[in-house]
Amino acid sequence: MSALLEIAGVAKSFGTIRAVDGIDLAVAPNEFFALLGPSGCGKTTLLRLIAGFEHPDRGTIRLDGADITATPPNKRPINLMFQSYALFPHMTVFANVAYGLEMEGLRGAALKARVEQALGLVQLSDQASRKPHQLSGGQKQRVALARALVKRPKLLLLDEPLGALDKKLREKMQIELKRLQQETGIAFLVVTHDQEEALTMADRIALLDHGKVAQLGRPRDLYERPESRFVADFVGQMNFFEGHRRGSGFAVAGLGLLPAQDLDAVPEGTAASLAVRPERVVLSDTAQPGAFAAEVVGSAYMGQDLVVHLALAGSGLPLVARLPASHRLAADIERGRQVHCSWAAEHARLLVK
Amino acid sequence: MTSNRLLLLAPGLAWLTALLIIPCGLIFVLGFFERGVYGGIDYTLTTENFARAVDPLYAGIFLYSARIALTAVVFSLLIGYPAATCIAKQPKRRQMPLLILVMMPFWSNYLIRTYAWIVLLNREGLINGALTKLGAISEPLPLLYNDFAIVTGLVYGYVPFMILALYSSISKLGPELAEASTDLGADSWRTFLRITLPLTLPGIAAGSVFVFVLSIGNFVTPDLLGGGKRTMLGNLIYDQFLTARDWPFGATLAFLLVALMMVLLTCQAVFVHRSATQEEARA
Repeated sequence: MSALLEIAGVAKSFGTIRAVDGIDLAVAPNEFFALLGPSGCGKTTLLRLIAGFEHPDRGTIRLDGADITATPPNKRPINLMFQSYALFPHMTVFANVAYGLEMEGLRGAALKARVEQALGLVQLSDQASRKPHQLSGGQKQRVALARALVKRPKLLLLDEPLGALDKKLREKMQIELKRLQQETGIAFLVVTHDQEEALTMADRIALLDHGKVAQLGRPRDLYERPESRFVADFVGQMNFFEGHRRGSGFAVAGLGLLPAQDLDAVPEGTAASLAVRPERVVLSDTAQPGAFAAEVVGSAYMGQDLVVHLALAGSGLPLVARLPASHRLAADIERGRQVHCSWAAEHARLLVK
Repeated sequence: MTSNRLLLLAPGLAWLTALLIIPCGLIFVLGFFERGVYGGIDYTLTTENFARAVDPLYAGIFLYSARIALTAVVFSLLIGYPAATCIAKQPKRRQMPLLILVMMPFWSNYLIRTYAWIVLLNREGLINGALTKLGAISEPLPLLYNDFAIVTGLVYGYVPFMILALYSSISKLGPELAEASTDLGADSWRTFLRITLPLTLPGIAAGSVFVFVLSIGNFVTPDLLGGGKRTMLGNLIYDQFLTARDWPFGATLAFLLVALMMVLLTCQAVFVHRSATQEEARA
């Protein structure tokens, strides 16, 4: 399958700031793609480059094989849903959605049918004659979505689409966006700083850092096989141990030799970080071979999970563990309690970068 | 709380009452008396002044003044809108200096600035001189002492008000709605007509009313740049008070002009208030 959107060597600077610093990526047709990263990582600039509001200093942007690097935004078969929604305040919901079709020269019954279909898709048919200021945040968001989708673009760009919504509505809209993407068959490219949003919705994620792609892959790849400390730290929660690759394991001062996966990939003596997800830490109240004694310094009850903060005996190094609330120990974890913790070698990842 | 607020308002209210409301009331009342034989006021009640004001002679002056003022409004808009747009699109730190530049002419006297136009526009003036030297014209152009000169003077004098009113409206709009329009397939002209223009109507209304109201009552510019050949409403009132010494009729005309301005300003205020409440509801 050939790519729908191809970005090759794209760079853009503002003054001395390299907002986008040589990015290559490809989005497949019908894909739900997420650009994830902290603020200032260049994801919004990249989005504006794809929409055509900014012009790259170098590199090319291709859509469906055609070079659109120099095409003005109003001539690109790409639509953008703005973070602020940017609804036209002086027009009704219907007129907002009809606007883009009118620009294509569509009139009369054909126009009306297309607008009504789009409003139906986002379940706003009964709000057509309202003005934007009469709508709730969630309704505005759906008008913005209908306005962008009604043009049947080849690619829909969404800038922090759920950023302005409260948590409950956000979770509902995540599912809703996924449904719309599958129903319309349009490729979605979402910009977000919320990793949970990206993990839930996207088929693939590009995690950006300082204008470059830090890692590109499926949500599972980013979460379970991070390639750098930045990725491991940004996506989800992570425990890090600093040390050196030595012999049959990973040497950490005060802890000795820890088990780790893919040891062969790292040369002997290399400085690295060992990364362990909190949910991979196994807690037990009896000593086991290879387990470390630790003391509970605090815990946070999260509903289905219990997050336990530990201090390893001897070294005092911090460790976070995450237990399901149904875990045998979860009921009586309290400050000062002694436990033993361990993890399997395949869940400890060595990161050199 | 309420009494505190009243206390803060008191100096301003006293000032307005003594120097604006009472004089306006006096002018209104004056309009209902007769002119004395030697220019004084004969305190006999009459409505004759108001009947006289709609006489074709005076109605003609009114229409002519309105036409000149409207022309000034149109040209102020044509000059002011691009200028205000340009200022609003500059980086924030550059906007204030540019706005101060717009206000700069107010630092010198209006009369002197109007005189300066005579130097520019007269038969041997800078413009005619330069064009003759360049060989573009053989005869000097009739630039001074006509409607063109009056409109030029009014536009020059009042375009800063137009720019300020438009700037406040345009800068509030931000770039995003225009970008959304472009993204949906509109070129820049259609984006302007369908998005920017309708959403800056409050600014257009405010600027237009300012320029119209200031222009229609102006008497210095028609006097100096019009050469006194054409009479505008301001000149007519001036003449009634100072030349014809017909205070009651002058008061009637002045009152009618003030009433017209009040109606226009009220309409504009209501319009702006309506779009402001809509905007608040949006935010």
